[in-house]
Amino acid sequence: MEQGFKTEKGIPYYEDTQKRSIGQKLKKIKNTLLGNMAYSCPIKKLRILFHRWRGVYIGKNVYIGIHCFFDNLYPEYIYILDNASVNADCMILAHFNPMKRFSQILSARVAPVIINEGAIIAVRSTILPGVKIGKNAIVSAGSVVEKDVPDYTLVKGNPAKIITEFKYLME
Amino acid sequence: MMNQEEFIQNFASQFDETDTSIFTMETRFKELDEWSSLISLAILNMLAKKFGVKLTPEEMKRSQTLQELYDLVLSKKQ
Repeated sequence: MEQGFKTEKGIPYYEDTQKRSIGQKLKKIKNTLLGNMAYSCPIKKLRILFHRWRGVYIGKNVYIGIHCFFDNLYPEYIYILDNASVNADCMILAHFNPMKRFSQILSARVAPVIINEGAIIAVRSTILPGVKIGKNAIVSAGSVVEKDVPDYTLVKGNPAKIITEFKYLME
Repeated sequence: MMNQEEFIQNFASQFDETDTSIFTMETRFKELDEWSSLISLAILNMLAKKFGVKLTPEEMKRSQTLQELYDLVLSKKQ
C-alpha cells in the first residue's frame, strides 16, 4: 500500500469548478448521496461499505464511527489503513479550493490524508489536507490536526500539539 | 540512581501551565486543575524513559501523592 498513495496536486479555483462536465456532476451527486447514507447509518459494516463505494480506501478491521464526514469531492485521497479507528463526528478533508481572488496568496490543492495502522482519531477531531497520522498515534477529542503526527504520539488541541510519545510503554 | 529532587523536577516538567514551585512530595497531584488522563500518560512515559520503570494505569490510579508514587517506583525498580 505504501507506494500506492496519490500525491498532492493543484486543482481549479472555485469559480472554475462551476463548469463541470456531466460525468463530474454525477460523481459529486453519488458522493453526496452515499456520504449522507454513511453519515447516518447505524450499522458499522454498512457505513464502511458506503465509504468504500465513494472511493475512500479503508483497510481491514477498521472502525468508522457514525456522523463522520469524509471529503465530498476527492474521497479517493483518503487512506485509512488496517486496525485504525475513526470515531464519531470526525471530519477529514482532502482538498481546498478558495475563490479566484485569493489566488495570489492561497493555492487550490488536493492532498492525500493518510491514517496509518492502529491510529485512533477520537470524537469531533478535524484533519486537514495533506496530514499523515503515524502508526498507533492518538488524536485526542476535538483536536484540529494541521501537521503530520509521528508514530506512537498523543496530540491534543487546536492546533494539535504533541503531549507525549508512548513508544516505551507499548514495547 | 534517582533522588527526590530529580523525581519532582521531571514530574513537574510534564505540566505546562502549573507553576513548578508548588510541587513537593506531599502534593496531591490529582487535585491540580491541569491534571488529566493525558498528563497521566505523559508521566507514565517519563517514568519508563527516565527511570526505566513501567507502571500500569491502575497502579498510577492508586497513588495519591508524589511520595506514594515515588515509593512505588522505588519498589518496582528493585
